[in-house]
Amino acid sequence: MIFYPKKHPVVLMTGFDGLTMGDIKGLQSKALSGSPEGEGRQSSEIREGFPPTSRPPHAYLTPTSPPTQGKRSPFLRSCIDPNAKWYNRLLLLSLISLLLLHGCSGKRFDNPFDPQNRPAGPSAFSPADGAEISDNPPDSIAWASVGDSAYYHLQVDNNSLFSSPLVNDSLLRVPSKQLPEALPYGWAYWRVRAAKVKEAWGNWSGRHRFFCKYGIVYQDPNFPNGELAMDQGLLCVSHSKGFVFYSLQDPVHPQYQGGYQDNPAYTRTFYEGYVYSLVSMSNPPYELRIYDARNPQFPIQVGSYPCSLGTAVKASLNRAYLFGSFRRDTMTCGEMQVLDISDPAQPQCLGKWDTLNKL
Amino acid sequence: MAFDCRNPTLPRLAGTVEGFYGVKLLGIGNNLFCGGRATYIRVASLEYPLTPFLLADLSSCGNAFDFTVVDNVLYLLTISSGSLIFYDVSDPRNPRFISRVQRRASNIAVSGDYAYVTGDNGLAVLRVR
Repeated sequence: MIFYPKKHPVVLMTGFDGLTMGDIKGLQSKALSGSPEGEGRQSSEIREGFPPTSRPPHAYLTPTSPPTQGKRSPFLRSCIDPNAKWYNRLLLLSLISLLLLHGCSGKRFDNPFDPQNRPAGPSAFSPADGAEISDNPPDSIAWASVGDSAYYHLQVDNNSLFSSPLVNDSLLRVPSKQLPEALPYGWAYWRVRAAKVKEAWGNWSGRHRFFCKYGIVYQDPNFPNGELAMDQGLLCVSHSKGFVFYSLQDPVHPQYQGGYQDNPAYTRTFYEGYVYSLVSMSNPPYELRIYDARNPQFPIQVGSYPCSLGTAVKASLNRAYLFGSFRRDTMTCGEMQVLDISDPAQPQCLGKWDTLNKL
Repeated sequence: MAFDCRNPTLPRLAGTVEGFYGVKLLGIGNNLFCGGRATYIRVASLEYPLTPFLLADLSSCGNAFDFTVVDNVLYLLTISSGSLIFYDVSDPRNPRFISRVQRRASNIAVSGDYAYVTGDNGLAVLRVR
């Protein structure tokens, strides 16, 4: 079998010996050698790099080199030998039939990296383009599956240019994804592309978007973790080593004002510029400490009140209500006190109830 | 436990109601919200302040770390799903689900259009209106 390329001076010859490549120049020179006429034509034909068209191609394919029969495999030799065993011939015929069947089965190998064979950009399912969503993240982001695509690459960003995607997942095997975290408040943009094999990505889908009605507008990973209270435009954070204040003048970006280091508090409340902190002690076991935080940059302690139990403190209308309880074996003790805090520096007990007196 | 403090010099235990757990109590209008710190949220009526009775519970959300109520909206931080869930509680007998925002946090305060939540991953300010 001969393949005669149009543009390259190379002839490919195939047969049972396998593929053999020969340079047309060598073949030409060998075919034309010994002929004065041939010698005269040789130079021009070689310069052009094409075989002469006046002769059939096989005229130049008469190699003078030794025959290649000696290189045939023993199996092939045993098949094509006139004295070959019948079963060897049958086996060879079967192999050829299989090859022909496979070649005629309609299955083609398309190079997945060929731009023409890459899948088109998927079309979106949900959320609908331009939709306003209440739950954040949405239940899922889904798109139409694309043919026999095995991989999908999803990008989600709050920037329409996808310059630093919040979600960038190229290992998706199904046409949807549940996002693990909430997206920022506002518009979220997303796009997706498909691939039949890894990295042979098709075109991106169109840019889709949805609006997150509720979502994060600001984050500070170094912010102390603690109980929150709010009063007079200040956010009070009660943490294990005291409390700190943040101004909410710019509600999206709380600004640190000041703080106070204190014993670990069981609970704190922030009321009309004063912090009421129920802290653990050794003797007495609890103490109510009162801090003047009207200047949040420099809170100062102004009063204290010892108590035997401490669970909760509430302040309202110049009164503070202290409650404490504990359970020891089967006996439950409880205590409730009402304090007058009209002068926060000198809290006064107005009345008291406890389970012991009751009993 | 409900205390009668009308005479602050002699506070009186007026009654106890079973089924209310948690550390946090919020009295909003005629309603009492109770729960948080790993218990689920219950809503009680204070129509008779010394004998509150249960109106609704939000056990379907699971236990909550913390909660607050502002302008008839209950904001609660769930433990299991690690999210902030909003309910419209203008009819406290039938809390109505509004939204869910995924954010694991353990403390919450709400002011204006924003919720402030803190947890092991710091602070997040969320737009909630």
